Amino acid sequence: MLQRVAGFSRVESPGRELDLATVYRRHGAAVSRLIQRLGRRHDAEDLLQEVFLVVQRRLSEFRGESSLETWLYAITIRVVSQRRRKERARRLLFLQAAPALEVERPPAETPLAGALKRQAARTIYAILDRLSERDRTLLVLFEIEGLPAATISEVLAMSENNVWVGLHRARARFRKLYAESFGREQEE
Amino acid sequence: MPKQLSRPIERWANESSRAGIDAELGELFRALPEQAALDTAKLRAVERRLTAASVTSARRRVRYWVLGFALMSSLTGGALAEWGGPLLRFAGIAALPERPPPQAGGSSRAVTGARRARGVSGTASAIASSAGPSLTPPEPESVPPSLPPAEPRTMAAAPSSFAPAPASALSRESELLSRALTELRRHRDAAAALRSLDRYQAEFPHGVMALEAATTRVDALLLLGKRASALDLLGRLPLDQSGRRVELLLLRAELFAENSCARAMADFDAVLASSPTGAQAERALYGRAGCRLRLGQAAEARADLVSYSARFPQGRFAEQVRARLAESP
Repeated sequence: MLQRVAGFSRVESPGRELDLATVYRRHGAAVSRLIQRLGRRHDAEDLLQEVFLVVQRRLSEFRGESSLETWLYAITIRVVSQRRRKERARRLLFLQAAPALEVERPPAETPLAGALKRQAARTIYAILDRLSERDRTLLVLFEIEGLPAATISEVLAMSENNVWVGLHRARARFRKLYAESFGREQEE
Repeated sequence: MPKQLSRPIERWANESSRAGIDAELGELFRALPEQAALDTAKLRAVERRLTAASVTSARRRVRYWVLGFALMSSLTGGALAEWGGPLLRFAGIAALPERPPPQAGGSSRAVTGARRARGVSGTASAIASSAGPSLTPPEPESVPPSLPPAEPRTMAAAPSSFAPAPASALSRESELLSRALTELRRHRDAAAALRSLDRYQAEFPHGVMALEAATTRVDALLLLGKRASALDLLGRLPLDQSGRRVELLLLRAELFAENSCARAMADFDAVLASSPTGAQAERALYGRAGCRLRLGQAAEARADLVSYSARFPQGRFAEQVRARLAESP
């Protein structure tokens, strides 16, 4: 059912008692990757700790009804969303500007390839940043992480139909913002 | 729900159209680089903080249980004594013991006071000596800086939910560090402590308690009078991740101040901005005043001295401060 998620090890052996250290050692790196994918490079370390503090509190409640990966994905997305909401509230309260968008700087094969990749990342995240939390999450999980709709529906606790509807709408909004930003005409 | 909206779609990265916005978006998403995970050092740092947090929360839970139990016992015991005591005594079932007379004087408080007094670092004398001609250095202490004892965070104390490494490795790690701490703090044998720390370093170059081991090494180096090596090590440690952050920042500031007040200032400022303890604030204010004098910032130095005088009228450096203030009213 659940397809393999990049970086996550497949399935915990059934009946085996999980402890935080094991979960962290197996999945910490993958969670840190997802946090950065969700556009939080600057505070990824801090958020990673926050995610695993939640895991620590709730590990005893994990019954294995969903896979551990799905469970971790759901917690990570919630923690990142909460952080973003808090920041937005603080910015509104203290009239602060939004922080400059940070994009990933992968080691470049050639300067040109590196520049193209950086530009692609910058463009995608600049548009994602203007979308709602829900649209952004759906697009990151589907378009960037490449998760199937079935997994996304588990992670976000929504029906698969709703995932597709949400994706159609999120993509339409993304497309519109892209067209506006780069002076393209939208095809119907 | 509109049916066409719920039909499956292809990812942009797999988009096959050759023209239009979707084709451009396809190219864009295909060009998106792979996301790397955080590097190992950062992952380890988070692991260390999680371990520390879980130890703290376990200790807090135990404390609440003990407090709750004590409260319940005192309440139920008090009620029993009030209502049932005479009856029980009469029936010969229980004999309520006489309460022993209170001990004279607070011995534990005295011990804590003495320990705190010893905790004032000898490096302050170095600051004083660098604080300009009018700030006479205090009598140097015979014992080099003795940092307040801090038990190593042993994984044995951590709750079972977070036991990060195989028990044997952890217990070995903890044993080596405990040995170093005992040699250093109980026997004041810095050379032996350094040998244990070398062994720790050789066996666990990236151990869970590597930061604690490094800060213990700083203490040992200071005890041996190797101040330059201690400063060098302090300069390489991520002090923000240490439970002794303020204390170590202050130590680094004082060591920097021996040669470079310009470098010490940032640390003194950071200490004073981090809610230090009284003794730390006292040392930091005095040290910063000394550095400001050396840097020719007379007005700022005077402000620090006035602040010191107001906050610590009976402080360790109060005499020198008063003398300095009297010299330049």
